[in-house]
Amino acid sequence: MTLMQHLLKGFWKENPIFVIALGLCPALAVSSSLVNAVGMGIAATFVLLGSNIIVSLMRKIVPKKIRIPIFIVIIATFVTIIDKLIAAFSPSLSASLGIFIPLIVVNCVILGRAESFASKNGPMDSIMDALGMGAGFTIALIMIAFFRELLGEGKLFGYAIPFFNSDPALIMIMAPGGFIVFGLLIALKRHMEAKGDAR
Amino acid sequence: MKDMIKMGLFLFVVAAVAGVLLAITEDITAPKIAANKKALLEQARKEVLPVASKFSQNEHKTDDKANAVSFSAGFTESGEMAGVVLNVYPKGYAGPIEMVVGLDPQGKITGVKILSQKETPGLGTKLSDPVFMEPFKKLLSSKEKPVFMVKQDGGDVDAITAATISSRAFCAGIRNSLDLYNLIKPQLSSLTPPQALPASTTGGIK
Repeated sequence: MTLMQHLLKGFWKENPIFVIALGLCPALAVSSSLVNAVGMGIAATFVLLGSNIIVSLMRKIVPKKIRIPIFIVIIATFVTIIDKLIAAFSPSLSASLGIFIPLIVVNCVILGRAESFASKNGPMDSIMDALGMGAGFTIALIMIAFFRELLGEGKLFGYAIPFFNSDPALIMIMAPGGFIVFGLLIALKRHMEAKGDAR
Repeated sequence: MKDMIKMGLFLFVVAAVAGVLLAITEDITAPKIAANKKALLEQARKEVLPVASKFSQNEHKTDDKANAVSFSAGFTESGEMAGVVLNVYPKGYAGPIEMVVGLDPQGKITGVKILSQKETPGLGTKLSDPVFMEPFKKLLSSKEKPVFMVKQDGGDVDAITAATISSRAFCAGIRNSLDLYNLIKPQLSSLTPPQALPASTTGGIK
């Protein structure tokens, strides 16, 4: 695969949320509003980039049998360092992104990409993979959040939308709404792919 | 066997490097984070007790050391007692909610601000949004003695939909601050404004 393909596969074909179905816990937790979805997407992409680069650079010296604990140590260290640096040098960024960082620690997309991609590919490919997967993660969150915020609160990016905000269905911003939208979106994606294959 | 020792050593080295890196980061960032927090607290004090321009750091001594209350008293430019600012930490949905509450000398709440919280993003975090804060402020100004409980529990506070636990915690924090206020009330009249010390040099509340 070329660099471009590594970048693009995460957007749709191997989308981490809709296809690989990793990182669902943080994804469903924060996809109740578009602002949170974008924040989480950016924070996760950044961490993914860092962890992919480090894991890719270390892939030749890490003993195969104990690679998972080592990746976990690397990722946890990286996330903690980022968290501290943001809190110290950019309090305003920390105020808006700070709540997502503890959620990233439990985001298995990060470990998933470290294990299945970065540990087998060079740094350049891994960077592209991280950017693509990060973007795919963000796109998926935005898609889920779009429906949840619109239907559950009658708003988009915090701005009230006429008609929808007269009597919003609160269940959509709660956990069940997350699962419902998520399931319907996967079904839609499958349907589109099935149609594409038939042609 | 030899393989096992080699792997153990490798893991040890990785963990040691990670530990060193974390220690260095902590060393560099800890004072800055503390300073940021202090600045935030000072700003919050001014927000919840707008009439005060000077703050002192006080402690209410009790026989029982564990129950000592630390608070800061606010004074106007002319040195008049303007009220107190209290920190309370009610238990929220996912950890303590750090709240700053300002009260005037009559014990009426002048302002509330949330410094930090670990509530669910998008639900409980709305505590610090205008959606929740504006109706709460209205309640403070419209009712003489509001009952600080959520409406489901028979109080006057509108809970956030889908975040009743967070809303309850907020109310508990308010009630706690009123209790603390009554505790320190007898001491208030004897307090004097800090001597020429700007608010920034008095110690922060931890």
